[in-house]
Amino acid sequence: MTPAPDLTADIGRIKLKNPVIAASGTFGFGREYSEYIDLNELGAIAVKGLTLDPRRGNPPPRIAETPAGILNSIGLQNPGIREFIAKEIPFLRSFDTAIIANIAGNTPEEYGLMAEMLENEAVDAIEVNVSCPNIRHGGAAFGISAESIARVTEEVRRKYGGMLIVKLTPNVTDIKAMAMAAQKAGADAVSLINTILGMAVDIETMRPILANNYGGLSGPAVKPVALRMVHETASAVDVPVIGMGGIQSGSDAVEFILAGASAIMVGTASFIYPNACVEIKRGIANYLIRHGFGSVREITGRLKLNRPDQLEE
Amino acid sequence: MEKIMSVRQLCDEITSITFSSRYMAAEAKPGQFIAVKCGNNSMDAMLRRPVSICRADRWSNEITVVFQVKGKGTKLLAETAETGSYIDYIGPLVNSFKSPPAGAKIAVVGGGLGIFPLLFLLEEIRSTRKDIKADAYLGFRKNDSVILREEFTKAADNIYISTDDGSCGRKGFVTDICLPVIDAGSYDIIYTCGPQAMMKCVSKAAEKSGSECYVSLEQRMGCGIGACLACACRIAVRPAEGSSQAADGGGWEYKHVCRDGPVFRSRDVVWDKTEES
Repeated sequence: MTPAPDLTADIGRIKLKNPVIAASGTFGFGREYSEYIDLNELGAIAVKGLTLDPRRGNPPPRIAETPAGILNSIGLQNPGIREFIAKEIPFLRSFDTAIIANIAGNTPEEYGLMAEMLENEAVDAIEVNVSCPNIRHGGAAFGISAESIARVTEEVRRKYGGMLIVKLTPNVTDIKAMAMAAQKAGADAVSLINTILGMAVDIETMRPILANNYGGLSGPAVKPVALRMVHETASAVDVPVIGMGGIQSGSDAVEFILAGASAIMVGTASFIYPNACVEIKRGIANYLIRHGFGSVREITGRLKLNRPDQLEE
Repeated sequence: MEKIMSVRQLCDEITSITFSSRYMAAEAKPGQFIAVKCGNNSMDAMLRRPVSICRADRWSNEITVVFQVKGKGTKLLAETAETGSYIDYIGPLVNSFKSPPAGAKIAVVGGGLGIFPLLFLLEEIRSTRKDIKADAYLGFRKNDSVILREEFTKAADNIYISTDDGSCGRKGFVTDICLPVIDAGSYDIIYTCGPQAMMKCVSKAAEKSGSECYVSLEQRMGCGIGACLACACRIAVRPAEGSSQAADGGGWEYKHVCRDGPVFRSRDVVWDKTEES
């Protein structure tokens, strides 16, 4: 009998027990899912995006369904970083899974301040959110230029000695430049993609469905775009890449890993099937067994590109 | 996942599904809903749809849920649900109508799809509480859409019906018949479920007459389990629970239908300005 494959995932400064991470903004603080699945099964949980002060979020409707996807504009509703530290960290620590604190600020200094507050807390990593499309200040505004990504990343790096992930927005011309800026400024890993800015229209009322007009698209609809961007990024940077975008199954996850992802995040799929992360983990393991691989590392970036020039006579 | 025992078309666009579940029969309370996956892995309607629980038979374990075909998801559900196939759901979710105090006189005011959880409430009260007097006010569009009349007649002491075109009961809105009675302070508790404008009217009248009032809110929903925070509704922040007060302005905060609801105390609801009558 072949031994069970090694599912551990190296994402820079830390090692996860498996490569499946619940994506920020889709998993609450874990609490919401704890009655449906065993949180100990997850490689990590990236918690709902945190801001310095509590945020109400955007007015409803906040969600619209589109073909093979959903469009959301929640607007970073969260209880603020202090309440997260006081109430949610102790709860999450009762499980054997890594905690990734996703933070979003209005200014680079605010990101730094939050990083400083987390420095001595029991979180395993910070994910710097420079890619939320649904807030007026900060968020994706920082994520669309290499200079501002660098500024925010440097600020956080100065205040935080632990594992630092920068979450990138796909709403840019050249994702590689953004990832390289994050790496140069001290990021230990990059995660991508956040949602793609989109819109849905109600033709009867002649208005956008979302109260905020535009929102972020996620789900299977974005997977090909995400996969291409993960591949481009993994080819351009040395730090580990955490891939996400429409992953619904183990085979979707394997596609991202082959394209260069060291770990993957699952978001929208959890809304539909609360146990999606666990099923995806199982799917990855089955793939490894089926192909005789001993670890996730062995297939990370194993994708062989076609050479169209050589395919022609 | 449970096997569907029967599917009934109640009227034009309203369908009921009955399945057997011992867990649901033991746990389901009036006001709760389930989140149903429509169709098999459809990419067109991926998210689960909230569907009202209309009846839970504690003896036979039969659960009946009701939905209206409104969009792609519910259309798919209506097309694929059949006797012997399976219903994939999460539930029961979440809170429920508060049960009335001893000897209370109650009213339920329902419009459209809103009547179903109210029937569950009335039947539950009828079968377990002899001390409660209950009136039902039900609004429909037209005679053809008047459904479950017999069930309501059995479950309530009095039932009053209105239709938009007067083809059954009183012509007009259900609020035309119930508001004068509510204004007179006839009820200790009022439960309402249906169109937002109707619930808002009923709430205002109940608050003025000093009656307690519970509303069941609706909002575009994502996950159904309190994670995505999509189904936001404005709820007043009470000083007692002031610690969770939002920083960007006081008075109210966004709560969520699938996490804190669907039932809310009417005086806590901050109604939409656009619904102002």
